[in-house]
Amino acid sequence: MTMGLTAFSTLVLVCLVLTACAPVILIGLWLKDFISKQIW
Amino acid sequence: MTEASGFALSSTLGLTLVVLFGLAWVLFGWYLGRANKTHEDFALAGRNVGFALASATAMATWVTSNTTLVAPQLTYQFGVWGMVGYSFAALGLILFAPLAARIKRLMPNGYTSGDFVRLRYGQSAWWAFILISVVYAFGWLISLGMAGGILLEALSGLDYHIGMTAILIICVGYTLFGGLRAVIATDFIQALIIILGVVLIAWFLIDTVSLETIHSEVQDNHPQLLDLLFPAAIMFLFNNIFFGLGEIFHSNVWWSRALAFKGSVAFKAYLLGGVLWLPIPIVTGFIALAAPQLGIFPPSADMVGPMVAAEVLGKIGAVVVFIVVFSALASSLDSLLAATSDLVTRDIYHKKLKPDAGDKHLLRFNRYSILGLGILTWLFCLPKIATLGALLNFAGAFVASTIFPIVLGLYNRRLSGRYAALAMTLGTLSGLAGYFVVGFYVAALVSCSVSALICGLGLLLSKHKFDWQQLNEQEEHSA
Amino acid sequence: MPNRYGFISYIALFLLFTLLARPVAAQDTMTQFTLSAPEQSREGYFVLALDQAPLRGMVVQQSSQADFIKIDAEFVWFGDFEKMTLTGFSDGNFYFRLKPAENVQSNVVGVTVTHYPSWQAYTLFFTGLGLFILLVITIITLHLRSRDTKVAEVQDD
Repeated sequence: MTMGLTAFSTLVLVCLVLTACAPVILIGLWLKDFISKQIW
Repeated sequence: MTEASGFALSSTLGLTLVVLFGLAWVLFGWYLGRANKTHEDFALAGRNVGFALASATAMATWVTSNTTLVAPQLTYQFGVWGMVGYSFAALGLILFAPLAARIKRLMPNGYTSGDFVRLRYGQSAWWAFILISVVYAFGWLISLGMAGGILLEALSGLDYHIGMTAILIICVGYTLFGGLRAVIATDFIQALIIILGVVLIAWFLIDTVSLETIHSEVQDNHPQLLDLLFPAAIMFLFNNIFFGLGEIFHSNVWWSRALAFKGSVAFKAYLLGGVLWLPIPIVTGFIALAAPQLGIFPPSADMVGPMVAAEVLGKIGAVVVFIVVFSALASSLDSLLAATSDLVTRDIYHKKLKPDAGDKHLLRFNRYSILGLGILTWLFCLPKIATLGALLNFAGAFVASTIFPIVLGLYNRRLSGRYAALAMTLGTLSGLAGYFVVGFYVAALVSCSVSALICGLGLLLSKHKFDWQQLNEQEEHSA
Repeated sequence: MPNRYGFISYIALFLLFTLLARPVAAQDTMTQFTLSAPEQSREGYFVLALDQAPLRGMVVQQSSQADFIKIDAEFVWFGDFEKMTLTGFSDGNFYFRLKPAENVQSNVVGVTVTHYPSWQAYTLFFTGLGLFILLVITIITLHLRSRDTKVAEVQDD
């Protein structure tokens, strides 16, 4: 059973988009902590 | 390849990057370390780390040579299952989330995972646990040091020993000055660098080579890599998952974080860290499938990731790869140095050798043990012993035996120390037997199965009733 | 804590010593190479190794016959590494040699790829799956129970 092109591309692209969202989430959370003085 | 020597970067540029990054991290560590007044500040960052830094450190520490060097390696060896299987290691972080919340609740004054095992299970289990922890910590420290050397060698042709020495000096440097606070703060920045770099490399690769070309080349000439029923890959899958679970559940790297995070942050942070980590091995792994298309056949499979990226993106790409992998290695190495030195200081020095040591004394000893661990790791890394994967799989036999004793110990009063010790010892021994008799791919699986069986027996036969209050140990010394 | 300035100068010295210890790259060119490879591979990947540093542009040929009547694939030797990892092979016998040229010659090595039998793979897969499900159920059940019963003797933050 071989993985087809569609499945392969979808897997890689979805993971790429999810990974790209991570810095936005982390920086957003940091700003929230920073404003409410909750960093440490 | 831009240089006549066949390497993406010149040795001088490689070394310059190392020195610049090294100086930046060490200065940052020193800056953060000024806030450390007590041993608790140094070892546990004042037990008050917020959600953003907590999630980033959980994610960044787990992004290690595993994701930047070994994920492409496994994809190159086992194809699609290699990268998908690797991303399942995120389950370790996700499943640790409830445990972390429980740890924080049961041991508001605890320091290490060794503390827990000593108080919950007693001496014999503690010895088994410390042995497992030490073997694992050194296995990981050595593999990270070696990965630093391999990275520099792959990208710039610089001698293995220089890269290895440099990364050790840098991480020891800033951990020594800043303690866990420096480790966590650098992790946040390293997490951002890693993710941005990884996305950039993957994006450029898709743009240059295209997923269609990669897929058709692999399908035509290396069909096994797209096979979803690849026997070795299927066999490897759960062994790898149990190895990851064992690593996280037992290691003080993760326990000290759980204890350092603010109140209710532990659960959320591990959960988010795991979810953010999940797609990363696929993004770093798939680039290995472009290797045949590009005519790259690496000397050892763990070098394939950096080599492909450097080949596709040229000199700038090589610089990006270099910074990403270096950050990934540093974010794990610093955590491991800090957590292991806490274990040495708290569990061995304070609890066994010098129970009356004061706070200043412990703080000083903790710093010496970071330095000592760095030197020991350096000595072990000098001869380049095995490939990264082999070294890590060997440790799988050890850590997987701790999964059930830890989980049951945190929630169940009945499991006694004798059964926990037996589960860890026999689990490890049978895992090692599996490793040598059958193969590396059963070590963690056998170890975890045997340990689970003994824990099950323990639950059935033991009449023990543990008092949770014993875990909340009060400090004997005054600061 | 050790003296900071002393420590920094030690770091610098350390780096300098390691730099000086760099081995000099081999420059010799030889014509006869000895190629080596494992006889068997269970995973479909293996490492070909040379006994000395490769020459620029050297090519490895692959064939299913020891006499190389038909060449199935060619791989350009990458960089100046002495090893090369090949991957993605299905079951079968594979022979390798360096493509004969004016200044390059080598022996022929054979690798037999036999993947693990399916029964072995699936047994391990389902054993692992079973154990994993057991672990997940244990954690979820215990965690929910501990939350519901609100252990009185454990202090909350």
